Amino acid sequence: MMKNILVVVLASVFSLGVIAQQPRSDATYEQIIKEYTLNEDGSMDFHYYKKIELNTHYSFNRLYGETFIVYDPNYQELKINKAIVTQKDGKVVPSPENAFNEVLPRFAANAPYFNHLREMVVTHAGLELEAVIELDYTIHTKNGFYPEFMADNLITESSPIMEKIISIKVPANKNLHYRVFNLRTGPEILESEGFKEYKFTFKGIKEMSHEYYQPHNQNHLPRLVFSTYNLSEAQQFLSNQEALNYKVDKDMQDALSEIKEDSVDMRSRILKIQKLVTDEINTYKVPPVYSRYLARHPIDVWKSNGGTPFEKSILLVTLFREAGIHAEPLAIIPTNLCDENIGCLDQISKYYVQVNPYDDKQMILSPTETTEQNLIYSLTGHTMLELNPSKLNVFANTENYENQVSMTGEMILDSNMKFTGNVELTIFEKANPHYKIIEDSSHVKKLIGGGLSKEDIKSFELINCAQVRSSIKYNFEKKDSLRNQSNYFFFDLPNCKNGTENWHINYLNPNRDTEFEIPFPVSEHYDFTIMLPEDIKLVNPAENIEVISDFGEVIISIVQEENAIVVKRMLRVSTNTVPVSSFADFKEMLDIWNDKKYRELILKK
Amino acid sequence: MAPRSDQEYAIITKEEIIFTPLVVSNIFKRAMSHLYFKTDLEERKYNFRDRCTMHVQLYETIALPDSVSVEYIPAITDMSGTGASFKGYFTIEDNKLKVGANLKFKKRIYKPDDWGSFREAVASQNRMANEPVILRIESEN
Repeated sequence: MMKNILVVVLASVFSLGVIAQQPRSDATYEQIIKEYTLNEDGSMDFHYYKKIELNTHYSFNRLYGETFIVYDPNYQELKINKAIVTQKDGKVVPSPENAFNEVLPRFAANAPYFNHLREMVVTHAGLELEAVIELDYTIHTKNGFYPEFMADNLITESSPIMEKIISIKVPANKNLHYRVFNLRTGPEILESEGFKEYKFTFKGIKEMSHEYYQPHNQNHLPRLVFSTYNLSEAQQFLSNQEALNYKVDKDMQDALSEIKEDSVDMRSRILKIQKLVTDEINTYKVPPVYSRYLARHPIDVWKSNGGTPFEKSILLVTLFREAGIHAEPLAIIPTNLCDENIGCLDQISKYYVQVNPYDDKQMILSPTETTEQNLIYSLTGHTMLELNPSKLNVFANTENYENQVSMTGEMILDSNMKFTGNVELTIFEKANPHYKIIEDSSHVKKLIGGGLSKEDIKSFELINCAQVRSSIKYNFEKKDSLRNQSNYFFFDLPNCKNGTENWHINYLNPNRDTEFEIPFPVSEHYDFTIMLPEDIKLVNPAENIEVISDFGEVIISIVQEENAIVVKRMLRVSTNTVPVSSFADFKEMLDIWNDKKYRELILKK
Repeated sequence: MAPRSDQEYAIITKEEIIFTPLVVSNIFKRAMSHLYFKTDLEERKYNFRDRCTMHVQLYETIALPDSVSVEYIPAITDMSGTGASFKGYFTIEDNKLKVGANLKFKKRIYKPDDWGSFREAVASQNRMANEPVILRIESEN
C-alpha cells in the first residue's frame, strides 16, 4: 500500500471548546521490590518483584508484554516464583509453560566467549487494558562470581512508580558504602540474626522523560549506588587483574613491526596502533556486570579478534607498551556520581587509554572508536581512574574548554555574481580535528560549510597545526554564479562544520521538563567583509541583534556600508547543561542563531 | 505547532516580501526518505531502493496583503515516469496564493530506468523548498 503524506494548512483557526484530558501514563508500577542479600558464605541473592498496571495498548504491545532476565547459568540460578496477570474482571491468568523461553542475549551475539550467557524471556499472557502483571523471581549467585557486593540502581523507570523498595542485606560485620543521588531519602536500618538490612522506600516516583538532549549518563536522575568496596579498592581490583601484565605474542609483534615501518613519526604510529584496535578488533558490547568486571588476557583478546571495551583498552595499552610508548588504561566515571567512599564498578561509563609519548603531549584515546581529537576535551565533568596498581591516580577534569571557532573573510562579488576571496579559520580544542588534519591535511577542506564547499576551495595553507589550535587560510572561487530569481540573488554565509553545526540542533520545543545537555560548549565568531558591484543592494540587513544571558550570548549584525557588506555573527555558550529555568533564554538565543534570514544574504540588482 | 508570526514567516522590507510556503519548505522531511537521495547522479547502473512507496500531497493557501504583485514564483513542470510523478502549482486568485504538489513514488525497489523520473520528482520538490516566493509591494503612488 502506498504511504500517504498529506500536509495542509488550514486558514481557519478553531477555538477548542473542550480541553482534552491529560493522557495517562502507559502503565503504572504499583510496587517494585529489589532485595539484595550478601550471604555469610559470600554467595548473593537478588529478589525482584513488580506489580504493574497497564493503561494503554502500547504498554503491552511494545513496552511490558515481556520481561527479560539475563543471567550466567554457570554461576547463577534463576527461579521464577510468580508470573501472573490479573485481568480487569479479576480473572487470574498464570503464565503457561511455554511463556518461559531462554535465548542468547543480543549483546552476546557474535561474541563467542560470552555465548554461555542466557536471557530468560518471560511472556505475560492474557494482557488487556487495566490488566495487572505480577512477576517475582530470585537469582542466586555462587560465591566468587562477583568480586564484591555492589549495584547502581536508577530509581526512575519508564512509567511512574507508586512505591519502590530497595533492600540491601549484608552480614553485620561487613561495611556497606551507599549513597542516594539526586534525592533525599535515607534508609531504615534493621539488624537481625547477624545481618544488617538497609531498607530504602521511595514513593511517588515520576516516569522518565523522553525529551531529547538529556544528560547522556542519566546523572540528573535519582539513583541509589552501593558497594562493599570503596573507590580505591574497586580501582585496585581492576588494576590487579592478570590481563594487565601486558604480554604479547609474535603475531602482535609482527603487526607492530608493520606499523613501525609505515609510520613517519611517533604521533602517526600511535594513531595507527589505535586504528588497528578500533577497526580490526571487534567490540563486544557486553555490560561489565555480565563479564564479572574481568578482562581476558590481551593475547586471548587478539586471537579471538574481539573484546569488551575494558579488554580492548588493555590490549591497546599492551601494544603501545610493546612499541615503547608509555600508556595506561583509564576507567571513566561522571564526576557528579563519583564518591571516593563507594566503589561501584557499574558506574564506569567508559574505558579509555592515556598515552604519554616522551616527546609529545599526553593523549586520551578510545579503544573502541577513532576520534579526530584528544578525548581530554570531551571529558569535562568526568573523573579518570588510572589502572596501575603501583600508582592509583584519580584525576577529575574540571577544565571548561571554550572550543573557539573563529572565521574571518574578505570576499568579492564580481559583476557576473561570482564569489572569490580569502577566509581564515582558527579552531580550538574540541572543535579542532587535530588527528584528522595530521593524518591528511586536505581534511581542512571538509571543515567549511554553508555557501562554500570543498569544491570551491582553490588552495589552502595550514598556518598552525597543534593539538590546542589549528589555523587555516583558504583561497576560494565559486564556480557557479549565485542563484538568480528575477534579479534577486541568494548566498548562504560560510560556516565551520565543527562548531554549532556539529550539534545538529535545528529546532527546540518551547516546553522543557528536564535539563538540557549541550553537546559541547562553544564560542563561535564569524566576521566577513563582502565587496559588491555598484548596483547591488542588500535586502535583508540585521542591525545589532544582541541577547545576553548567564550562560552565553548571541550577537548578529549584517549591514551594508556603501559597496561593502559587513557581517558579524557571534554565539558563545559557556556551559554544558542548561537548567529548565533558563531553557527559554537558551532557546531564544539558539533560534536567533539558527534563523535562516541571518545565515543568508539576499541581494538585489 | 505554534502559529508563526509574519516576521518569522517572511522577510518583509518596504519593497518586497520573500518567503517559502510552510508546507513546501520540506517540513517533516524525516517522513519523506526520498528527499535524502542525492540527485547529482545522472544515471544508475543498478537497482536502488527507498523505504516504501509514497504518495505526498502538499497544499497551502496564503492570504496576501493588498497591493502586492508576484515578482517571482518557482517554475515547476509536471512530469510522470515509471519511477515517480510530480504535479505542482503556484497560483494567485482573489489575493490568495495557492501552492500545491502531488508526488507519487511508485516503487520500493526501483530499476535503473526509473532513476530519471525519480530524480526529477525529488528535484522538483526540492526546488519548491529552495526557491522562495518573492512578492513586490506596489507603492501607493
